[in-house]
Amino acid sequence: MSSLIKTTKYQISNKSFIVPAIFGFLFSTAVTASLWAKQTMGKLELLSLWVGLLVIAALGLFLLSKLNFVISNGGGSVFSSTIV
Amino acid sequence: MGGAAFSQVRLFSLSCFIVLEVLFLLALLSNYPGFCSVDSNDIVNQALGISQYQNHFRYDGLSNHHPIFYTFIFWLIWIMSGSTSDPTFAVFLFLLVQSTFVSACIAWALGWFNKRCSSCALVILVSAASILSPVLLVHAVTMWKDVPFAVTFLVLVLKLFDYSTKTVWERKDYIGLFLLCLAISLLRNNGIYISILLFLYMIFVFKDLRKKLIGMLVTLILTMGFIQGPIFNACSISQGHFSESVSVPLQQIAAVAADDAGIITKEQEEFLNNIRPLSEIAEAYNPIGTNPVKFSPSFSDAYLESHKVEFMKTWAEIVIANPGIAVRSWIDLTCGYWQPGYSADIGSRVTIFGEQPTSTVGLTFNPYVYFSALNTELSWLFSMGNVIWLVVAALCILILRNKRNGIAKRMTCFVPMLALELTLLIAAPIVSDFRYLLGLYLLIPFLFILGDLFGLGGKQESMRS
Repeated sequence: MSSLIKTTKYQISNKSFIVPAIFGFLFSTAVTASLWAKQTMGKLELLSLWVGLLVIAALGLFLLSKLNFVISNGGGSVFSSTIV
Repeated sequence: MGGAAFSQVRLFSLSCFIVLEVLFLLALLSNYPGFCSVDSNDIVNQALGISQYQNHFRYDGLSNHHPIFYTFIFWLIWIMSGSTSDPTFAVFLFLLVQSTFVSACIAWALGWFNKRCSSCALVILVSAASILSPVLLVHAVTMWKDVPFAVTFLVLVLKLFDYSTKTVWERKDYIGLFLLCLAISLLRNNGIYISILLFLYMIFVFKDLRKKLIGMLVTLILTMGFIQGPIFNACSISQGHFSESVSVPLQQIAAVAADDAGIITKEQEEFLNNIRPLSEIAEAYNPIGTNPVKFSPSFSDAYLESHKVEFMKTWAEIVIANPGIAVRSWIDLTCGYWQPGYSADIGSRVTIFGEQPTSTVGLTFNPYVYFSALNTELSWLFSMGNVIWLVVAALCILILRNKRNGIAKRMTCFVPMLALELTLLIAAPIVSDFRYLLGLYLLIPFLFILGDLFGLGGKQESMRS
């Protein structure tokens, strides 16, 4: 887990976080825009939702890209590929 | 690399084909002659030569509103079935051919997956998810041009993955790519735009193949131009109305007209009254679809088609003056294709001319009912709004994992997927038509390889090298 955190810090400093950030931006904007159109939430709620979703979606995608899923006939396993 | 999960690749594909074919045949026979919608009725009427001007289908005789190629195939089958005035048997035969085509394409795609994945568990999982998918079953036995389009689109995307990993293209690769692009252009009116975007991207990325790709793009445009020009004229086939391409602008104008806070000048109102009285447009406005604005005897397609530039200018002025209303109406009209979790009903419950299907085998097996029950319990699984996010996430993971390894070429197979979504964002006439996104939905299991989610895409490259 500590190596995964190190990798994340390295990737952020190395500008490798741009692609997840774009994904997070698009995803959170889509969710927020659809809620804005329905006029069910206030501006502040929408803004906090937008920021929260942006971070979660970007981080989620970034971590997903760092995990290697291995499925064999007997079962499955997950490990992180850390390159620091 | 252990090679294919099931070493008998052809036998594996054949087994998938047989299982799919049996399932579809069972669905057809227990819902004879198969499922149809209003669009299917229009197609059958055209083939039978009894098509007349109606509010929802504003043409006399043959038209390319529903791609004429699909109508032509039905006409051929109707002729072969004896050309009787009752088209029921022809509809059954046509859907039998369509479902066989779907079976063949899906079986080929599963064989493609098997060849590139060494895990039997994953291959079985993906095959089961595809074969037992109620979405596939409902569509395969419904008379919609979107169904053959979707499976052809699936084959195109998977072949593009193969082409993008090749160092040397053979003649059959060029022919295959051209024919697949021609097929999607003939099967749906937005297919040509998807093909053009794909070729432009490939011309930019595949520098060593540039001349041949430009030649193919020009040939495709000329072929489509020849079909839709001289051939359409010779056969008295009218083009689809311009109003079908400007669903979003029409919807935004209607939204502004219907909103008390909407600003429309006298000049703009006078111009729009020639298309349809603005008060009627405002009354017909429905946030989830443009059809009520167009489906009226007072809607003048002729005036709109002769004043395209003025219409676009008026629309731009109205949008600039009413940005909030315009954006909101665009979201309401298109959110089905991108809002995470958006769910909608799919398929049709009736057969030709609104009749109820009947079982000819004494068995009740209605895919529509089967799907509706599942959709009620597991709506997130069939959400059409989630599909594009799975595609975008897979594309992002591919980029993150392959930054230095010719990523632009590897991304080629995602171009048609994004182009399809783009055409819907620009010209979707209704918010919740699942069939428009069927091609993307069928591709979900294959994103494991296309997006390099399990490192399987990398295995493909190493296998070739």
